[in-house]
Amino acid sequence: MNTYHNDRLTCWNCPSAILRGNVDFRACGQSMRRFTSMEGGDVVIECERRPELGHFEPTINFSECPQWKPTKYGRLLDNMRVLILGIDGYLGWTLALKLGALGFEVSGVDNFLRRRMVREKGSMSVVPIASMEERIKAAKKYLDIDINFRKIDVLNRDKLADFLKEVKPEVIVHYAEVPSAPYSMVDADHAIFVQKNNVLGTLGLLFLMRDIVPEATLIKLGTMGEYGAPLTGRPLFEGFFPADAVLLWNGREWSLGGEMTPRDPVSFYHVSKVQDTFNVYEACKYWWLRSYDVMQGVIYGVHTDELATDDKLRTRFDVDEWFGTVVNRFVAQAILGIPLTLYGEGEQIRGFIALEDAMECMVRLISSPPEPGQYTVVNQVSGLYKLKTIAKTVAEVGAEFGFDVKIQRIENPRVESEVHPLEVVAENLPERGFRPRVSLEREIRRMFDLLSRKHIVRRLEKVKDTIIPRTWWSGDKRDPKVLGVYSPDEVREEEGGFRGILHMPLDSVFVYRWEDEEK
Amino acid sequence: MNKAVIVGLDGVPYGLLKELIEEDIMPNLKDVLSEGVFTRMQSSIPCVSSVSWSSIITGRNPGEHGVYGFTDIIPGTYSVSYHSIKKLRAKPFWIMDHGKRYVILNVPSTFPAQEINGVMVTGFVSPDIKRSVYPPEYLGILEEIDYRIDVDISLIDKSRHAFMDDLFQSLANRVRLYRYLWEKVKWDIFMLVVTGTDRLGHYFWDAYEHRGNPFHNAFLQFFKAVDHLIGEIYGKINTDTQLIVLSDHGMELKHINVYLNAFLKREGFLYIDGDRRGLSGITKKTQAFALDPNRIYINIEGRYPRGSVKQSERERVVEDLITAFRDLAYNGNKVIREIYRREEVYHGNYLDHAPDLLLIPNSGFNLMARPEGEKVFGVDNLTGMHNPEAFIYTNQDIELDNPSVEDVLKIMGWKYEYVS
Ligand SMILES: NC(=O)c1ccc[n+]([C@@H]2O[C@H](COP(=O)([O-])OP(=O)(O)OC[C@H]3O[C@@H](n4cnc5c(N)ncnc54)[C@H](O)[C@@H]3O)[C@@H](O)[C@H]2O)c1
Repeated sequence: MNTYHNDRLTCWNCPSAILRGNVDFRACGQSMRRFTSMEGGDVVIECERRPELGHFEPTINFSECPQWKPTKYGRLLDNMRVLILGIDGYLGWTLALKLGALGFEVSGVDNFLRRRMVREKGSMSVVPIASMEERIKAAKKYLDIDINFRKIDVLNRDKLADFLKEVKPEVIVHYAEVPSAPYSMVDADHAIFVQKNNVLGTLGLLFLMRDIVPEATLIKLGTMGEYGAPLTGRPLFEGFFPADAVLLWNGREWSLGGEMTPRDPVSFYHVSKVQDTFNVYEACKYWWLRSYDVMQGVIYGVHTDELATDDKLRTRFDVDEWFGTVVNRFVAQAILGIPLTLYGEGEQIRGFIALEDAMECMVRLISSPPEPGQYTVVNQVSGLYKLKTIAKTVAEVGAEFGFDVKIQRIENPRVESEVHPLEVVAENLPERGFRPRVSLEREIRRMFDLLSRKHIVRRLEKVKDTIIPRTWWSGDKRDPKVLGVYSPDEVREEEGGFRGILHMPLDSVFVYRWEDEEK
Repeated sequence: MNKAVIVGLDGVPYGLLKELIEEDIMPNLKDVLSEGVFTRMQSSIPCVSSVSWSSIITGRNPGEHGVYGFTDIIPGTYSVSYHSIKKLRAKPFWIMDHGKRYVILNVPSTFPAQEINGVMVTGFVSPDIKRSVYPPEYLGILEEIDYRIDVDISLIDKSRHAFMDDLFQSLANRVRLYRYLWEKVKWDIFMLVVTGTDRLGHYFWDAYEHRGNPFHNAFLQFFKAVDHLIGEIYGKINTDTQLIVLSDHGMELKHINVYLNAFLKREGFLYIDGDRRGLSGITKKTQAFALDPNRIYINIEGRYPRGSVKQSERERVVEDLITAFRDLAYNGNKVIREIYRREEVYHGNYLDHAPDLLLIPNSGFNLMARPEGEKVFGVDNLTGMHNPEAFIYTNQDIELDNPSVEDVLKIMGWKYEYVS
């Protein structure tokens, strides 16, 4: 009977529902306080989209509501109003086009901080991107998408408040943070700036949401790095311990069910994300806000159908040591003839997800708004890979494109465990119908395809010097020593270290359920 | 016509007033009753405020005014919407005659406030105070006197004392508003409803019946306050002003709640997917479900999203339901006194929306339709329950023969066509 993953959600989940108060028909009465609680009688709502329904109980299923229209991502709210904070970024722009193409009313905010920070490094997006004005024109021209953009610093609460009042977003996707671990480790100024920008930006946003759009969903971007990589191999649940988890100590036992799991961030940037996590969690508790906190794996890739429609629609792509993420940097190194740089052992395991899959995840979350007060953590990965596996795969795909790719181990500028187990539970996205579709090889092929075009290779050459990491967690600024250079077949992923274990309840070819065998 | 004043006392049975007059709790009412007629009045079916007041203000039965309860199923769903005056299919008296000027204060089920020749402040359920007042200029005075549409029912779960205080406070604030409007507005018809009496009855009926109960005195005090209000109004009106005092339904001691949907589940008429809220989890196996307080609906194919009973099977399901409800008993006592099919109690153009069956309980059995739970019988902290025994008083010299809520406008001398 249920055709769509979100058929059974109800007005409780819908941002169109305006909470009006409580009635208590035990004595056919009502309480007229401003809506503050979910207790004391039945909750009454009105629907912003269907005022003719009057006041009613928030139980209409999405499958029964004509406003939630079937799509391949499940039901989507007709003309849903989405606000993307950080719309000029790698993910923000990609999502804007994706949602625009799906019929969302897209608004966006950015202060172009990312462009400035990349310039500070002496680098640039190797895939050329136009000014926001041009981008918006191109979106209109090629995809017939209207984007309502405003240049605002998220820290500027007055301006942001005005824009929220104008747009009245039903979902806010919050990408607008500094996304770089090395950038936060440069020096005190950079660390302080990152934490201020990220933590205070989000904290201010929460207050604005409380006052202006309490019904909206906040989709907040965190990272898998918030958890760290516990050496015990304890599974990384989605933010909270499952009901049957227990703490055993001194012959006594306590339930851990429902408690937040420990976080072990790996840079001052990651600390800012952990701080966000607590702030968002509390706001949901105090004010009945609703949020998905997305522990996003490392994103790689260049492709979505919308981005590929025209060169003018491409999203940014960075390869420098501060802002390039690992797969993206490896492909750049492969093309430039720089041996791919594994830090230390190269046995680090991380969660990854291709750009296109990551975008689908966002649509799935948007299609499935949480209930008032609900704070749900989502582990967003489609595979767990050792870095040396990634390097090997990039080298192999590179060979298909005629590149002779070497792999090098260099000193690790970071403080992290280089050999560790990793077990990740990722159930919330599959429950919302998400199935990874893009394999590592496939996306790497697309990256080579795009990045090996002449004009991009020229740009890669220009930023070549920014690729090798010089930002040490210790504070040093120096080139790391090379520990060894290998050809791809000398690198054996089965040898050494651990295997990642991913619990993702679905049967999909790109889902890896490795045995938990130590080598 | 002369001026008229209508004072409504929500949920007050005829018998209670008789007793309170005898015990000298309501001396002003006693004075008032020295002329005119005071008698029982039959409430609506079901005997709840939304239906009953809708009949009182339109002079029609539910088949004509279309209101069958506080809630209705939203077409295409199993979700209920709450009553709004927009659903009223018949004209209330203040729309029948625009020539008169009205003050309509706190009449239940009149939300949202509509344009009227005069002033309207709607009664419960009014989920948004801003839309409870016409003309909107009067919102300011409501705020000034801290007017409340209703008591804060959620208080009862925290403290009976606090709830009782709130009852008195709400009444006091309502009296202030009526005094203000009485003076400031030019009116021909002034209608004022006191709702605290119903809430008091629901939560403190035991206190009334038991002298030793710590709230016994407070119960009586509340009616003294109501009596004071009646006396004040009586003192202000001319002898040629029509005075009507009435209630919409009665109240009696409750013994036990009977959860109709739990019963329907137990008997295999109703299947609700457990983790869903309300009735929205109804599955295709369902043949019937209940809405508050006593309305039974058949899950007809085509009418509901997972409707499965074919028209041709309807009669059989109705028969099965009647048999099942006839047998429903608690400790050997039959729960249901009477079962009506909709055509037996309603007439008019809006029968389609009417429940298929209506259950009338024996005294003390409080029918409820909450969808959750498996237990058929249960208790809560309410001690009073509705019954059909309303009352009416008019200062006119007329005969009243077993009147019902639909007759009030006629009693007042309104002439209007019945359409059917
Ligand atoms: N790309 C990844 O692999 C990855 C992985 C995990 C988490 N994330 C998170 O996802 C989010 C987006 O990542 P991205 O890769 O698109 O980064 P990005 O830097 O390309 O995008 C962020 C955008 O937000 C803007 N911004 C930052 N601070 C702002 C402020 N105060 N006011 C207005 N705009 C501001 C930037 O200018 C930029 O355009 C970040 O929060 C990041 O931490 C990214």
